[in-house]
Amino acid sequence: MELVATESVGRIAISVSALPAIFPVNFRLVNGDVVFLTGEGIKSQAAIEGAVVGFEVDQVDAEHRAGWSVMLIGQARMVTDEPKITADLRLSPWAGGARTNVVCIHPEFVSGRRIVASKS
Amino acid sequence: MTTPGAAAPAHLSPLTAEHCERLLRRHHFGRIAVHGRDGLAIFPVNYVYADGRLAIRTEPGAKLAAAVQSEVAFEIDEINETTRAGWSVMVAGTAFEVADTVDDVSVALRDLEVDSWAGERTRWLRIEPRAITGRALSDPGFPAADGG
Repeated sequence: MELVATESVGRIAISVSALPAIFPVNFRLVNGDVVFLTGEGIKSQAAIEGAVVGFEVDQVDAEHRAGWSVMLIGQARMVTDEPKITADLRLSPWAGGARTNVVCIHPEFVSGRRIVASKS
Repeated sequence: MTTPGAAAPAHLSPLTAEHCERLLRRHHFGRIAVHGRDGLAIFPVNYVYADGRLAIRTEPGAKLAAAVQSEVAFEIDEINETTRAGWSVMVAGTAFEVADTVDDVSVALRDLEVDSWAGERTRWLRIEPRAITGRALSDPGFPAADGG
């Protein structure tokens, strides 16, 4: 999770009608939870429903074929009772716009791996 | 609070199919989402896209085994965290293992050079795209992340 904290862009995987979908989001780590802002849509709907989602953060140097990837799985929820989080976050969604929903993912499973080039 | 119906931010604009394909051809690193035992899992992968075909090379016995014969999502993006501009393309489709048997698709995919960033990987998956969607993000004047 220390690696996750170093990044600000991650990808969330959500099941939409049983079909997976991936979206990049601008996030912050707050007390070990992944928190991001979103508008009305697939991501906020997942949070309203308390859907289990995947979230991945990586840092890959394609040229040197090295890096790391951390994946977590957890339930998404809408943060409604903690208005202070929004102010503290100073987190702006990278797509801008009217995005006032705060979504929080509490990781249940966390796994990570370092990628080290095995050749070349 | 957000007004219902006013959801789509003006900053998000869809990319044309041609644009999506051009981006897919130009890049070789993306992320794939598959339904795993514990839920949706995402893995970074190397890929190649050509002639409407998407091929991913991975190692034998990998977690991506769960992807075979199932619906997956594949995504590439490029985001400039300073200018907050970028784009994202998603391919939804079914993943298949590229068989050892000699068929046209297998041969075509093996001929395409996917240079895996994690070293020697011999297993191939192909994704038959069902839908390819993309969106551009431009955000001039939007305050920086630490500005409020």
